[in-house]
Amino acid sequence: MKFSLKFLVSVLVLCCVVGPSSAANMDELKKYKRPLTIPFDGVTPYSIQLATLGKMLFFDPRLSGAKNMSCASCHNPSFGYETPVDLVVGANNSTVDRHVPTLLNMAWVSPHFWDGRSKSLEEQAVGPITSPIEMNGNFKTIISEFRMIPDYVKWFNIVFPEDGVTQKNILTALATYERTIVSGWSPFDRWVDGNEHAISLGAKRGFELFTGKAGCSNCHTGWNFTDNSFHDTGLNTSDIGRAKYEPDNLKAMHAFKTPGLRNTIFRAPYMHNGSLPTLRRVITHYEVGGIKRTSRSRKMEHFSLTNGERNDLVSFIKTLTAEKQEASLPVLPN
Amino acid sequence: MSMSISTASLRLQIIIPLFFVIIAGVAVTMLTATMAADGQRDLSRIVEQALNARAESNTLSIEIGKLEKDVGDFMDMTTFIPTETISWRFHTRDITVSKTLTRLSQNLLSDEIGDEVEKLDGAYRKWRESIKVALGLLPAKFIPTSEMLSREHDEVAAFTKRLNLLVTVTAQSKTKAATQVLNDITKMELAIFGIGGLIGMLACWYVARRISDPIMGVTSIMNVLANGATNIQLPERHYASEINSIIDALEIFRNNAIELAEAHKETETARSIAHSMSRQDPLTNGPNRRVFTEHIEKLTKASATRTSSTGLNRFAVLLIDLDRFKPINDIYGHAAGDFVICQVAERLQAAIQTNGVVARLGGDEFGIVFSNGHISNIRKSAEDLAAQIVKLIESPIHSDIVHAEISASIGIAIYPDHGANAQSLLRAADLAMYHVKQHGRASHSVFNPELDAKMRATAQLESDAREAVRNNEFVPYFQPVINIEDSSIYGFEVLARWQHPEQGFVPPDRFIPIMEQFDLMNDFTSNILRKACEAARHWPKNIKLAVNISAGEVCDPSTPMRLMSILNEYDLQPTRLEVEITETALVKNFETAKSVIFALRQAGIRVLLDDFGTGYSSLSYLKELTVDCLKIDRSFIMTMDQNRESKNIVLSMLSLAQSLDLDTVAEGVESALVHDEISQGNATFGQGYFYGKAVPADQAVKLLDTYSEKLAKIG
Repeated sequence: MKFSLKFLVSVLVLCCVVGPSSAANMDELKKYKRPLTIPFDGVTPYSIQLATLGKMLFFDPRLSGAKNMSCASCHNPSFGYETPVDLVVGANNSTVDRHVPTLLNMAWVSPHFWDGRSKSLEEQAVGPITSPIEMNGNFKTIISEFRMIPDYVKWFNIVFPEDGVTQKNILTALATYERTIVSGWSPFDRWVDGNEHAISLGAKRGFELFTGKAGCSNCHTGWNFTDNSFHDTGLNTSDIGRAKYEPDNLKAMHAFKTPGLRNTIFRAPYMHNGSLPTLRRVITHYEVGGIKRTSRSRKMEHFSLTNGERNDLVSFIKTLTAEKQEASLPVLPN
Repeated sequence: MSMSISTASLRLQIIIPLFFVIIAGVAVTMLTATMAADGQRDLSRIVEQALNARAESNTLSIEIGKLEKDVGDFMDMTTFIPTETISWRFHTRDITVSKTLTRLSQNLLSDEIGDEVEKLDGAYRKWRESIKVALGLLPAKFIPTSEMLSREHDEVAAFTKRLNLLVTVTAQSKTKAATQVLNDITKMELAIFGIGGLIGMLACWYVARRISDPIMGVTSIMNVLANGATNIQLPERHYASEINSIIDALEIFRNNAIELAEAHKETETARSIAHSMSRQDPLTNGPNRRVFTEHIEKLTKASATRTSSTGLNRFAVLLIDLDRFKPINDIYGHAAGDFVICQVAERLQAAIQTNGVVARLGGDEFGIVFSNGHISNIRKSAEDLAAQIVKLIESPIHSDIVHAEISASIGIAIYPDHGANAQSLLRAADLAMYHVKQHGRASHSVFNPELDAKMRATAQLESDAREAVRNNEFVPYFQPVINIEDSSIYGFEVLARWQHPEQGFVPPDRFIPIMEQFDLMNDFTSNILRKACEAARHWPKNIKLAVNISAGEVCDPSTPMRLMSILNEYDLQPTRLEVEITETALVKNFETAKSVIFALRQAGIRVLLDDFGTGYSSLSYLKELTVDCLKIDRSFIMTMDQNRESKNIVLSMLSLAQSLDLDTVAEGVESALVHDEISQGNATFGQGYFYGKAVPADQAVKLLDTYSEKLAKIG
């Protein structure tokens, strides 16, 4: 009798703790429901041939001046389409000044680059290819060379019957492929779909913190965990960021685009300059709030977490990791 | 009783009940067979549907799996694949899947399958649309992610799995149900066949009772009948006509059996008489020849088996032939003869006492097997015994009806010296006995092996003679017969000559008996006569041929016809033939001989009585029958010139013939003196060396030409 009473009590307590929180989250969770289709609205229409061609170009080092780098050199699929280093070394042994941003879920992201200087992926792709400190490529050279490759010529003619191998077409193909790069289904997605057992209790608590006390979801919102906006997170940096293109906007100084959080654990180090090597460091950074300056986002509010809460938060972040990793290489034409 | 029940054929009794049972059986069998066939058909249909459904559902799983893999490969974007290729590969799979789905939806195995197929179809269509968009086959602004494709595929796969399961379960349950139905039918069939079989057996039993009961009744009566009992009660008449026939037949059998039993009894009696007769001489009641022979065989065999220890057990075989017995029968009659035989048997038995066996071998012949128990002097003992017997038999037998004085000729053969078996011993004894007969009778003689050798030569001659007749080896010689009056050749006596290849010339008195013994006389005479006729056909027509015919031929009524036909063959007149017969021929069968002689004479053939004056010389024959000529025996003629008696006999015979108006032939004329005497005695013809010996045909012709001349010279 004693025992059963104890048991009843504990069940009731559990209901009080978990039940309401779950119920409260129901509406919140709907915001995180991931889409099943990739939007190609207003961009070059999708075809698998176009995407395939784009994938080949993405992995083709012949787009670089020294033919030693491809897009995938820095956007490595195994590291969440990033590079596991704070700043990469590009062509001519030059260091690139920002950390490699992910290419995951780019179909849902605009504008591009940390500072959002490109509106579309097509436009974005020109940058790294032709940048002397990155791939150092020359489109004239690339096109004349590609026109010597029969399969490329054939395939370009299939996909672009009108003009074949051109810069625009190369960029279109690359962009189309990049739009198909979608982060895989994760435990979190299953939880969103209603599977209560998909993630741990700690992760659920982490989600509570993420959307509540820690205020992460103020910017990292939606299924891709980004508001596609620019914020100064108070990092110690000389990079003016978005201010270059919005000089009149006080808040644009040192502001960088909010990155999505899918497959985050593959993508260390973090921040636009790769200055924070671990997620815990990232969390403590936001607890402290960084440097207090004019440009710092108003969303950067001070809060403090216990160690357990930090662990919960990390647990939650980890539930955004895709259950299946895809990294097949295309066969390139010669 | 028999009238009240209608008699039906036994066949109908069997057929009608069986017919109804069979008809019922066939009907039930056909019914159940139809049911079983229906059940089987249902089962086959269900099994077929189930198999189809399973095959199609499997195909579906496989094709959907392949489609998923294809799509995955395409979506992997590792190689560039033109739209057409993708399109073709996708459509190929899609068509297969769609068609399979359609077929499955038409499968009538169960309604649930249809529902499930519908659900699967819906899921598949959704997935299909997504694939089409993802592969760029359908333009769209929102391209499904691989997650979407795999989720939709998962749904399709789940439906497919469910469908697979459902098909399997449904197929099993349906098949089971159909099998159950078939099993039920089979059980029902078994039950029906069981009951049917029982009914059939009962019917068979009933029919068998109906048939076997009366047959058993009849059979038991038949058994009684077969065991010899004839006082049987016939069974009551039956409703089956066949049984009635058997009962009728049974009645006849019973009656026959009674008669048969009586006949059998008579036969048994007759047989026992016959048996004793076959072993017993009816007259003396002693052993007969058969028992005698068997006894000898027994002794020889017993002796042969004892050879090693005691040497051969010697014994003697005596053959006793009574001399002068025949006249007793003739004079006193057969009863007297029988009495004498019995007396002789008694005397013989008395003579040997217990030292042997006496048997009557036939007629006036007796046999004795004699054994004195000693080995060395059996011969002497036998000779003593024989001498004693000769003496005993010579003692006259006297009674009211007869007074007989007979004697015995005894031949003795000793075992094993003169033969190893009964046959050879009897033969040896027989030879010895004949030896006695030839040398004065009333004596005894022991077998002499030399006699045997002679006998063997005779046997050889016999077979040669028979061979000679077959080969026609005999050659006719012609001895002239002279007409005494004018010394001309009256004719020839035809004499057979046989040149034996080894023994040379064989005289007729040796081979003629053989011919007679083996009944070859007819052929022999015919052959000789033919050859003689052949020779004589060109001779002057007045020349006669005289041919000897045997006793057998004289007594054969066909002889005249035979001789006539031979004469005809050679175109000779019957008057040219003379036939010489002997007295002995007449003795044999006088009446027949008389008619044959009459027939010959009627035909114109002259008949001569040969060897006249010898033998019985019964003048009574001359009274009884008519011949043309007497041929006076040569023994008288040849001794005429030395013996006065002979001369007187010849002269009186000639005068006798003359007085009887018979011609005469004097045979054996060898000198002119004799010729003169017979010519004075008025003999008609003469024959002998004086006139000419027998010569072959060619010389006989010459003789005809030259005779008168020659005779004139002699004269």
